Amino acid sequence: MREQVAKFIVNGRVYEILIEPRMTLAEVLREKLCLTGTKLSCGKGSCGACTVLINGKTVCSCLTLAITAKEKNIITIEGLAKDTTLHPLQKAFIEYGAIQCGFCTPGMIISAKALLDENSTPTKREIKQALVGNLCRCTGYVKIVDAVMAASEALAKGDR
Amino acid sequence: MIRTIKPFEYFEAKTVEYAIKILSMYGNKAKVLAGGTDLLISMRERKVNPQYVVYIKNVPELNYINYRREFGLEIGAMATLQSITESRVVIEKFSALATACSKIGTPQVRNMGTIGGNLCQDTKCLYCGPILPREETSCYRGGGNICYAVNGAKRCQAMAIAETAPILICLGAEVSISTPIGQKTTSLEDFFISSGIVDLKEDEILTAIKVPNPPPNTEGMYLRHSLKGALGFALVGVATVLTVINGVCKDVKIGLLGVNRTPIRAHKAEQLLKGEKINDSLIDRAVQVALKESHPLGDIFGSARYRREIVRVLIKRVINDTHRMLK
Repeated sequence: MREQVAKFIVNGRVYEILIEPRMTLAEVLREKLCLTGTKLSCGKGSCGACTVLINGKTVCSCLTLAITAKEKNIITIEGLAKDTTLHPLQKAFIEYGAIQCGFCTPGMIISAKALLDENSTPTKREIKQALVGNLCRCTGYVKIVDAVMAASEALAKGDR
Repeated sequence: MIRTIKPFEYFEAKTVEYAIKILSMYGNKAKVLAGGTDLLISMRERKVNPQYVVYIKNVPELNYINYRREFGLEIGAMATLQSITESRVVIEKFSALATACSKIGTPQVRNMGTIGGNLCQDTKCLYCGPILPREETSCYRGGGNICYAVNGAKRCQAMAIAETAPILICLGAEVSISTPIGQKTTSLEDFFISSGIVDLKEDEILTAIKVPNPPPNTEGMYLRHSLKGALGFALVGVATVLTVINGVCKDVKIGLLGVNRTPIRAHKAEQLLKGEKINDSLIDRAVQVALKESHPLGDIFGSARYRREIVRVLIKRVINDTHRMLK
């Protein structure tokens, strides 16, 4: 009910903003910080479109109260590219045709990044397991898995 | 539907004592918040509208996984499902528990969700949705005499879906509960009441789950069946903890989820197996007995008959596989 100022660390930048306790992290990212890469879809934690990283772990930002995420290290899709250089995951998704409408893509890439940060040489099965919380209605997932595999190989070669 | 959550007053608890103080002050107007993967959905759908929310996930004394050879395993209620899935000691000594946690929800949900939250979540009914204030429904759930989810049902069909329950019950787990007047302990099996929810008052908090060491020559297993494969809650969950010495079943526990309102043990089936040499026909008979004890319920996701079929297959599988592991 009472608005309060909270500190958020998003993609390495510090923001101090006025929030209400009832606001979800997704709302704060999209509406207060204008980081609209994170998408809203099911509102139930089933689709993964709202996936972001908090302290390196994937969470559904639509089911996270923003106030509980203050002062934690938050990474959104906007935090992957370095200036105009895309992250190997982003490059691979483009090259492999893993993007059609693009709505699931931010969440997919964030989940894939969490996987590769922990396991740099995943098997196809491990990629599928890591992405099980991210639904895609367009691609049929094959190219998404191929793209993540290719990105893991590129990162292994020292790309980035 | 994506709506905003109704405004509430927010408290961040750093101790259990503080959290209980808030709950005592505000009674049924307050709710604890842990992972949020259950409560926030209901709050967004305006089915639960607490005026006061106490965040307990940051309480240090609730987040741990400890193992001691003398006492067994103790898990704080705020340990995330993912941390239990990854825990070395759980994988080595209580692998079926790690399996159960690994099957719940999605990776994101497992990172956010806690074991305490999983056990304390409300029963699920397809018609009423995840949680509907009981005051607002005129079906059995709210004290009426009709079920809107299943035509002609003679009682409420809302079911417990806590997937960590069956294996924990089989392992003989106990839960620690903090109340305004002190701590209490009860067996997890007794913690679930007949309606499918846990026996937790408004001003009480589940603080820990204690799992004793299994005796030697013991193996456990958990299998589940979900319509949507990796995604989606379990239609049916079957757990067993089996002790076999010289080919004879010394002890067995069978835990079932999704065949009754509450997670249950198949006591009569267990009695049938105890003291006997395990073979196919014995297992078949035990399964028949377990099904008679189950009274599976049906809803849109699965008819009673379908659940019965799946349970039949899974009980057989868990007993066979644990028996094989112990040979």
